[in-house]
Amino acid sequence: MSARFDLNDDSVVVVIGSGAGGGTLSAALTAAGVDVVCLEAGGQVAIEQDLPTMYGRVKWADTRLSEGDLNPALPVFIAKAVGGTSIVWGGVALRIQPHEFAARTNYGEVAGAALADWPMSYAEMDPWYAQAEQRLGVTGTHGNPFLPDHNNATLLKLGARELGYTQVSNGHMAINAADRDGRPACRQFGFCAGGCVIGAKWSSLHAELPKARASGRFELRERAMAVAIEHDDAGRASGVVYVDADGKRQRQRARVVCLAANGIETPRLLLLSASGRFPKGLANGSGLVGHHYMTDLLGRAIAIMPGRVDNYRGTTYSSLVADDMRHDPARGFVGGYLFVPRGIHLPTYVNEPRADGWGAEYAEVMEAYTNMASAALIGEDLPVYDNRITLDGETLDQYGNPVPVIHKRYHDNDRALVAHGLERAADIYRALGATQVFTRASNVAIHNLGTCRLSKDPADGVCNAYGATHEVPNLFVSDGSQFVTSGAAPPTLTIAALALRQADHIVSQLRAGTI
Amino acid sequence: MPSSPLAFSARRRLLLTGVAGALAGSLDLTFKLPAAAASPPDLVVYDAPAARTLLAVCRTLFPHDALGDAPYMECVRAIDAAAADAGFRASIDAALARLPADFAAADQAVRERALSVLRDTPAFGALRGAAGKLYRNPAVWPHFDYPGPSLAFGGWVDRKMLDLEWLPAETLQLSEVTSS
Ligand SMILES: Cc1cc2nc3c(=O)[nH]c(=O)nc-3n(C[C@H](O)[C@H](O)[C@H](O)COP(=O)(O)OP(=O)(O)OC[C@H]3O[C@@H](n4cnc5c(N)ncnc54)[C@H](O)[C@@H]3O)c2cc1C
Ligand code: SF4
Repeated sequence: MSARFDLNDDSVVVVIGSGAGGGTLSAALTAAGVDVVCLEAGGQVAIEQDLPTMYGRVKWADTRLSEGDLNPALPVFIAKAVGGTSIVWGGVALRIQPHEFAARTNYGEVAGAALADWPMSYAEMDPWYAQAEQRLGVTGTHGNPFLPDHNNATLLKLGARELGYTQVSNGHMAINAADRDGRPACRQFGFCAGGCVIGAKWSSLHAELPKARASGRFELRERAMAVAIEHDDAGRASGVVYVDADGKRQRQRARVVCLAANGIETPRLLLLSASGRFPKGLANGSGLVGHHYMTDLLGRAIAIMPGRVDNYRGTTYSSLVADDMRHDPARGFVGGYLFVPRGIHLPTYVNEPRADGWGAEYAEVMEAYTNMASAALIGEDLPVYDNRITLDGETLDQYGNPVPVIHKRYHDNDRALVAHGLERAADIYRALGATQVFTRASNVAIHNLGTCRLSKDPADGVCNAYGATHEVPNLFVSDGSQFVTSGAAPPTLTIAALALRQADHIVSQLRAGTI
Repeated sequence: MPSSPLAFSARRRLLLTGVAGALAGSLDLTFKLPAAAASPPDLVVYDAPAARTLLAVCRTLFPHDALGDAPYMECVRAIDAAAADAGFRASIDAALARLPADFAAADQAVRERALSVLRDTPAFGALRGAAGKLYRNPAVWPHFDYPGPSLAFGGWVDRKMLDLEWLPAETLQLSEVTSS
């Protein structure tokens, strides 16, 4: 039951982006009786078990430039599709840890980094995390069963135990281990990273947008690219200009605007929305829109084992080695990291052990495909002022707007953390007799965080503790751009928890008539 | 703490040394594509000698002796299609011009040395990318014992996913305490 709203209806909440943040927010708002128009730049995509073509169909291919350490050809992998990057996410659903919410206090001053504490405590987030875990059906929480073991996961856990790790488990995954919430149990197809054909994996596409639609209060406009957020004379957001599927400019009026376009497009849209009243960009009085860009640190270990692993079987990720998530400066860096097993299919294996491998020796590594075990490292990335999203002075995108430039250079702490983790990962596989281990840091970002960070003091960030921008009270940021620090965990459970909390806040503000 | 941890190239190169020795013998290389699959090239841009060189380039980049020429020719076709773009074609042609005339007839080691001269050119990245598509071709999957999508048989959930029989028994026992 899709609703339809008039372009001049200024009673609606406009949500920009239908991914993890925008989808969850839309579903929670409509459930509370709020009318929502969601503008989504991408279209509806059919999901098939074919990794190379799936990536091609969903990937955000609009031009953007890279300055610094990220891969210039593909600095960032995100999706442009109904459901956003949640279509292809892995499902690892972990909380940011209590000490990480007060990173500045607990880590102290780190030269070259702009560490800050979150404006709310872990205790304040705890009930929202619990709600998000229940909503996403996270395994190993709230009575949801764990996913079953497979070889690749078991090897990582056994190797870790051999080295004395203790926080080793089947992990917390937003993947149904049993039928629930109208979605089936995982059949262990092993193509999670191309999208889940049956919707066992939580995604905005499969779990949130259908709920929003069923409310009768939701209109999703696909292939609608927002290009500017407008404000009225009082400095309140009044509507969103977008380019529709036919290339025509439209203006949707709004009572509230929520920006969930992922951590690059969100600050870009604020910068593109500069006006006489907001010359540096909408809600950018602090000058911090786009700054403190974090990606989480990612690394990979590929090990050739003495026997078969067949790691194409079963969920791409699952299980968790969490001991190194702690903050322990004795290791030579602040913050922590984790390991999850990572399944790799033959079509993409060629770029895994080395991004540039070739020749007879490399062909032997390819021949060893069935004996390959693999894990991913995910770690805390420090906020650095100069790591930022800016608008390019020359290049325009297909909508006529300056393309984003992604500036990202790793901090020494980042390098030390990844080096430590990859050594440990190699040790884990060597403990089980690996004959070859390849480790490397990833230079393609899949998490985009911190570019409109939360702060108590309007001079220190872009949004308040609920994601409302300090300067425009009815303009909200509803994605990972809000993050103050990245934590060691991947971001999506936190994005969902923040969206649920923000929806509750918006509903009470709407009822009170304050926005 | 290592000094330059995000650049592992030196170490990776070390690790690669000796891979061939370590793995030979543990692999079953008996699968062969049917010889009939080696169809003549129906290329638009490249003539037969250029196609022969490109085929040799692809085979040099990812040499699997047990595979026939047919799946490599698919990669050559992809290069041929991309070469409709004049700029792309010029960069490939410039690269190929730097290879010795008898490149296709030389043995693997000689061809690798010749190719490594091109390693830092954009054309090399494009050629590697095209040749790497070899592994996307379902025709080669049986050789690597990779079954591909599992949708047709309902996923791995009712099949074996845990069969690490090669692990020492005492190690495997640890797996009983994995859920926590
Ligand atoms: C391969 C991969 C694996 C991952 N695995 C994990 C994991 O295991 N655990 C985890 O926590 N996270 C994981 N992530 C990250 C996760 O996908 C993201 O954190 C999450 O999707 C972010 O949600 P979002 O709503 O901010 O952005 P998205 O989900 O990207 O949604 C943003 C949407 O906004 C749309 N949009 C952008 N600009 C505009 C505009 N101007 N107008 C209209 N629409 C616009 C986009 O098209 C997109 O659909 C993974 C990511 C990738 C790529
Ligand atoms: S392994 Fe499970 S979660 Fe992943 S795609 Fe398959 S059914 Fe979906």
